[in-house]
Order: sequence, then structure tokens, then C-alpha cells
Amino acid sequence: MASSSGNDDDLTIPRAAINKMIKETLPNVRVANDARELVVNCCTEFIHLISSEANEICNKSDKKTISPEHVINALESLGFASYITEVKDVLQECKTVALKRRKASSRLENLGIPEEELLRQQQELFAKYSCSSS
Amino acid sequence: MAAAVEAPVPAEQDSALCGSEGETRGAEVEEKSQPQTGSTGPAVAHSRLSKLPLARIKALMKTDPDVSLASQESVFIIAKATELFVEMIAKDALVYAQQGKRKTLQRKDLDNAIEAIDEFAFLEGTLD
Repeated sequence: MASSSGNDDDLTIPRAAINKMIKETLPNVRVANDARELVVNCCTEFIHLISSEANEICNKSDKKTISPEHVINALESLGFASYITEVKDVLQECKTVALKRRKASSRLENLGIPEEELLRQQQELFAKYSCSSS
Repeated sequence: MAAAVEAPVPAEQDSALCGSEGETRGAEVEEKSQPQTGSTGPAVAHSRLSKLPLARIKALMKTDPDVSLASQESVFIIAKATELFVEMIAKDALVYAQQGKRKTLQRKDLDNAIEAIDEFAFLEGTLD
């Protein structure tokens, strides 16, 4: 699929992903194909709308990179304030995941156990568990 | 799926994930693997959090020449907002189908929802 025509402006969200979301939202409802097609296109427009607005907000700030804050403000100013709570939840999850990963790597660094030793221990564990699972 | 010795976690991931400014090196971290393949390592966590492919969303954002760099987290929440948008418009359109005593959602139901709801005014251009 992708951009075989090489034309960037034909990009859309994959139909399958949209179909799945529609199905989850309206479980027992049949949806006409042209309606689905429209939803796909609306998503594209939505993404452009939010990014454009977030970009403007970003430009007005002293930052060069669009941040979640900018996006949230964009949602607010475009009338999608009702999305903000859930969006913030996801953001929190994302940060938690990132934090855990950083902690995990810094814990390893601070253990004072050299990597070779850790690897050796890991190998032992793998050997141990692969024996018991086979 | 051993996350045991993930020792070489590059610092660049951190700055992008924290959405910090400036130091994102131009490419603002596409992640080593495309998120939608959802294969291994860091990409997995992201594909669990979003139903939509982040790389595609990022690509869509980039088709706008004015849009500058965006942090990974920003792309994330735009993905989430888009999910919510789909839910919202589908539910709103359903109301019209029900009014028409139909069990099948049709394009005109979406048209009606778009015309009726202020926040969807930006979509009027997508209607034929």
C-alpha cells in the first residue's frame, strides 16, 4: 500500500485501523463503505487541523518543537476541550513508560555490576528457564 | 521477552519522549523500528498505547510545510485525539441513522453530523 504513487498528499490513516475503531465504538451497527471512506478522510483533516493549530501555538512560544502542551492548547482552542482529560491520561502513561525505562537503565548503570557479569547472570537465567519450560 | 539487559538505551530516546526542546536532532527520533510493525523493544510500548500508526500520523503532519518539529509525545496525543474524534463522529452520525430508522450508518448520516456540529465545521470541505 503506502505511497506507491510517491504522492505525499495521498496519505491517510489505514482503513483497517479506522474500521476497527468504528466497530469498537458502534459494535452492532453496519456501516456503509462510503461512510467509512469519509471517516478516513475526516481523520486526515482532523490531524492537519490539530497540527496546524499546535504549530501556530508553538511558533508563538519560544520553542522550536511542538510539545504536548501545544497540542492540548490546540484542542482547547478548536473546541475539542472534551478530549483533553483522556489525552492527558495517555500522556501520563507515556511518561510513566518512559520513566520506567530510564530508571531501568540507570539502575543498571548504578548497580556497579559490570555488564559482562550482568550478561553472565542473564545467560544463567535463560538457561535455567529454558530448561524448565521445554 | 527479556527486558533484562537493555543497557544501551540511547539518551536520545529520553529527550524525545520527555518532549524536551531544542536538542532533538532534526529527525526528532522516529524510533529505531517503525512503531506500527510493533516488533520488539521500545516500539512495543508505543503500539500498545495507540491504535493508530504513529509513523503515519507523523507523516501526515509533515505534509504541511509549515509544521515544524514535533515531539514524540505530541504525535502520540494527536493519535489519541484522532481516536476520540472517530468515536465522536461515529456516535453523532449514529443519531441521524436512528432518526431515519436505519440500522446501517450511511454517508449522509456523517454529512448531517458534520453540518450540525460546530466543531466539525472544518470538515465541510471534505464533503463532495
